Amino acid sequence: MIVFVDLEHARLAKDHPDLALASAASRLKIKYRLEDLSGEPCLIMRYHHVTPKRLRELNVRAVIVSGNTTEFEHYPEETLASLRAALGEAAWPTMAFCGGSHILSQTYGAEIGPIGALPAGQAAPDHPSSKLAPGMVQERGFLPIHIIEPHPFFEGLGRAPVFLESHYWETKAPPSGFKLYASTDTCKVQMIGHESKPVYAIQFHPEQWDDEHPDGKKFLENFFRLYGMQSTP
Amino acid sequence: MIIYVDLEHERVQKTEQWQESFAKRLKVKYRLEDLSGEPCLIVRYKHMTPELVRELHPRAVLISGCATEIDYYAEKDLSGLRQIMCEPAQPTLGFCGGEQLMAQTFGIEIAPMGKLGADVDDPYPRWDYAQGMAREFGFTPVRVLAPHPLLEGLGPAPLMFEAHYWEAKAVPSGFRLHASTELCGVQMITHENKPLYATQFHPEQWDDEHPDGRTFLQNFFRLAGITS
Repeated sequence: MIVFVDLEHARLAKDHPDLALASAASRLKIKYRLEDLSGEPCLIMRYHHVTPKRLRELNVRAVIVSGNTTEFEHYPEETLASLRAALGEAAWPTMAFCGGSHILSQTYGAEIGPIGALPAGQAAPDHPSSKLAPGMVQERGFLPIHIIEPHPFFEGLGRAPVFLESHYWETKAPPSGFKLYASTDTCKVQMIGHESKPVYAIQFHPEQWDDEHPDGKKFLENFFRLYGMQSTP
Repeated sequence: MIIYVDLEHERVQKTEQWQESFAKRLKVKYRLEDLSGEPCLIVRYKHMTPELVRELHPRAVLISGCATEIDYYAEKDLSGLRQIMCEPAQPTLGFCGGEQLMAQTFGIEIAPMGKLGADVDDPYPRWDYAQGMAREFGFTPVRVLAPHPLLEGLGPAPLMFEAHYWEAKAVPSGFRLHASTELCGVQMITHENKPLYATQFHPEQWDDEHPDGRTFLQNFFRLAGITS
């Protein structure tokens, strides 16, 4: 059993009904992808239901944390506390994407926040999600990342694999105990990993690969293989 | 742990309806978790095997409907689910296509309700699914024929969501009929000595104005010994 944490806030359905439909559909699509890559059943769990005790009871082999569209100001700290406890305990391989990576790195002491305001005269990328953060620096779409340090997750991916990016927040610097593995020009902290725990914060979205951009699939296969899980035929 | 079987065929992933179909599954999963207090694992129909059920030991199995006709499925992909229906180790409830699959597994013919007569106006002209066929769609009163704990607190004609044009043509041997509508005789069946329950309607699709489906599912979880 693996767990896929749904970090999206329920208010997205009221704030952005169009994005909420796409987001909910995408959670199930990714769950099925994770099952196919790991060969394990994958339980989707809402973020405020995640506790270290529940994860131990399920005997999870990995915990994957989604991104989110809703601003973090709408997540009362008490609704994140038990997720943070699980991310901190990390008695299981843990990988968090985008918004999940921000919660993870913040839990370990990093500062998180917007990358910054766009310089005058510069436009946001032409992308449906850019409207979520008008006037802000953001990465949207499939972009190459630079590998700073080799890691088994990058096996077979060359020096500049291409992953989907969709964010305007970032982790400002790797927290203590974490090592930086990948960056882009716009955002330095694209992948960090803990030095002694199997915990990774990933700014990009490997789970959102497509047929023309399959590097994310390979990346996740490498993750599962490193922790003893295999794709099913 | 409970299991919610996604009976939809994977062909839907290549259609424009995929987002709606996938988002609906997730919504129902969260509803089932909130009603049961149990984590709910969605399992694709092909992956349902007696081995998986033995391993996960769910406290209940619920089976979704599907927009794809059952005839379209490869029989080998349904055999695990059929085995689970024949020897249910836990309370098992099928909705719509899930009901029809259960009826078929127990030997009953399943087929469209029929063609819409040339002189009959389509009551749901804007529903873009199986047009020209006799269909039930939307919240519809379901006539209770025989009481059952699942119907407790719901009166003689609960309002349930309908969305189908196929039906089970008769009540399988060993089952009892509990509810009908004017258009469709087999709306709710339960087995006489196995924990098998099935509805043509969609209790899982209740809304604030039509909460009977919610009560029905609460009754199911209570019957299964699960309370939130």
